[in-house]
Amino acid sequence: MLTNNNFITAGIDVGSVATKVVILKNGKIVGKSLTLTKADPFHAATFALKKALKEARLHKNNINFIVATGYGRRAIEFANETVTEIICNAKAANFLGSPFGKIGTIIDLGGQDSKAILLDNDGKVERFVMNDKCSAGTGRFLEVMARTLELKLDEFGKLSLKSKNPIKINSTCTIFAETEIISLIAQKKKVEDMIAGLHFSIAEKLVNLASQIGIKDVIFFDGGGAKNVGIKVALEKMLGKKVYVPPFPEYVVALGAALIGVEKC
Amino acid sequence: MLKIVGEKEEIEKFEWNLPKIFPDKKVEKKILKLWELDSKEIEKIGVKGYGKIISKRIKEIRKMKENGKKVVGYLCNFIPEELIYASNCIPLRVCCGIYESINVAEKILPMDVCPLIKSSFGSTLSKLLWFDLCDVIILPTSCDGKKKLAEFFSKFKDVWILHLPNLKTEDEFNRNFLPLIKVLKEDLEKLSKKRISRDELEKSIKLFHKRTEVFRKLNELRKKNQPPINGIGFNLILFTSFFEDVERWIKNINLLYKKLERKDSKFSEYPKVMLIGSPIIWPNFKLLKIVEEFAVVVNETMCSFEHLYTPVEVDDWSYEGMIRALARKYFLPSICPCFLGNDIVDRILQRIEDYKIDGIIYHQLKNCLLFDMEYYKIKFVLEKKGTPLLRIQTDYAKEDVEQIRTRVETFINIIKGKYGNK
Repeated sequence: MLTNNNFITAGIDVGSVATKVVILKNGKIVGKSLTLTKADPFHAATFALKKALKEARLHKNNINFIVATGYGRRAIEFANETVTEIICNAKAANFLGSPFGKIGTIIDLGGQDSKAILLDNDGKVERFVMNDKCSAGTGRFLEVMARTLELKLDEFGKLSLKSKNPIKINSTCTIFAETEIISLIAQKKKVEDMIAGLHFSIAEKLVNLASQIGIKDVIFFDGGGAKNVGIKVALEKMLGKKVYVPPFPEYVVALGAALIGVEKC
Repeated sequence: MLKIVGEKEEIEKFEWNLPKIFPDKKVEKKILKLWELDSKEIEKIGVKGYGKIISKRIKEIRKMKENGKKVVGYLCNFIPEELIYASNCIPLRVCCGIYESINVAEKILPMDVCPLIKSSFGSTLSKLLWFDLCDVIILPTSCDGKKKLAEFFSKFKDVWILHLPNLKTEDEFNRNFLPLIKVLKEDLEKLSKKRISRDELEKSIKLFHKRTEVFRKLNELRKKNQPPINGIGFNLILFTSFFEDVERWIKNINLLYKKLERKDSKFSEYPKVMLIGSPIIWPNFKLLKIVEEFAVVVNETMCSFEHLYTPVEVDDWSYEGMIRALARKYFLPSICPCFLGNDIVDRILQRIEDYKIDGIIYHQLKNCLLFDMEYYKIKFVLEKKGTPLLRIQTDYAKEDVEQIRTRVETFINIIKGKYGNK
């Protein structure tokens, strides 16, 4: 049983931008932390684990099982097992559920990649598709644009909601979209309209990606990029459906890893 | 020299030239060393001597050339090796899997060309291993890239272009393929300055038939619940058929088969995967190696070795009858996507049953329109059948190994039913 046990497990999600750790006890998150991966996944995992353990008031020896996932999972030598992030994501989404009903499609917006996962009626992965080749459908896109507009990334989402007239961004490539924004700034267009257009662009990329495997209710939106309310709203507008963002969306995959750890105990 | 088989006129009337490319001894050493390492997989089965097989054969071919023997190279699997052998020439398949040669080719060919073509061209240009030993290269028009490649090859090799029809019908065979094979036979006789007698042709067909027999025997072993050989081992052995003397190859494989027959399998726990799509040719075993970290590959329905599967069915042992049977085997059962209405799907469905396949991985080489467009109908059929399918689009470079691994690992986990899946 995932919630009724005395096991303590840790899930370490080593993403290309950030490493996330979740410590699970009796089906509850007792500690979590995030740190930038930079060029050293092993160091980032060690550091993040230490921080999460501190929050949980636990020691490394208390952990029964460690599962590592994400791009850098194979570098984590102290992990008991490695599992891909798609499997972990599905595991956690199924565990968390949504207030709107059974989860059908997961959309994961990461720092440098994005993924879509279709779940079958039992909540298991049926199909998946990844975009790890083009930055335009990833968190990097918004990061670049925020820098160009000299705004903080966390203001971005809320600002986009103020727009009454989103400007469509024509470029599909991050670099060329940046050029397009610069020219719109020169034309003195409204900031919120540009930002809304950018959010629309990224939502479009995510919808195209998810369409390859099937968009099925309920849509579960996670990854660091899901913290951006502007993208969530843009997705809802495009799909004409409600999109559920769980609390702490960036930790979902790490949670999934920790849940798998419980099954292994 | 560049000519189309069956036509009299020589092509290319104006002057242009290729830059001089110097052979890279470092790359050659590296590849030979890699072979010694990889071939240990075969030696594990209990058959020794594979480590030096490439260097030995290259030396042997060079010696035979000195004594006047001609080497006939070819791409793909449309050229009847039996004919080349019967004309006393050495058949040599020059489809290449070497990544380092691509750099060389890109000095001349554009970036957006299939890696297999670039690699084969680059290896021949830089005189790597056996690639430059051909006196003639036969290029079938199985894709635009290969067709146009003929112009480049002809700058430093004699090239014969074998024109392929678009449809695999009896009519096309009789009108447009069989006559070309007859002319090809004559061209080979002119090259070797020796006529192929009826007895020599029969002998050659019967010899290569033994090759098909042993290949099929080996494949039968892979149908077992516990296959005694994995995909890497199998593909390594089969790769040697590209360059090795056919009689010796048959003998070696028979030896291997005897060892494998009695062998206990270590691959019983793994899900069984079939690979389809663009050919996987050593040393481009990137996808194969990643897949076998998590599963065992028990079949490849690919043009790398598919032609070894089909026997030459001779019902009339006259000269005419034998040529006809040969030409048929290399045309009608082809699984190349260059043919419209390609019937590879039937073969795939049959093999899913025969080999108890748990999942299929579609190997898609970048910049290949034919395999790219073929994918849709294969996905359609397999979705209907319910067989899990994963497409991996890649080239020869090493940079996407982690990305491929994540996809393959997830796919195999889904099939395996681990972590509460399925």
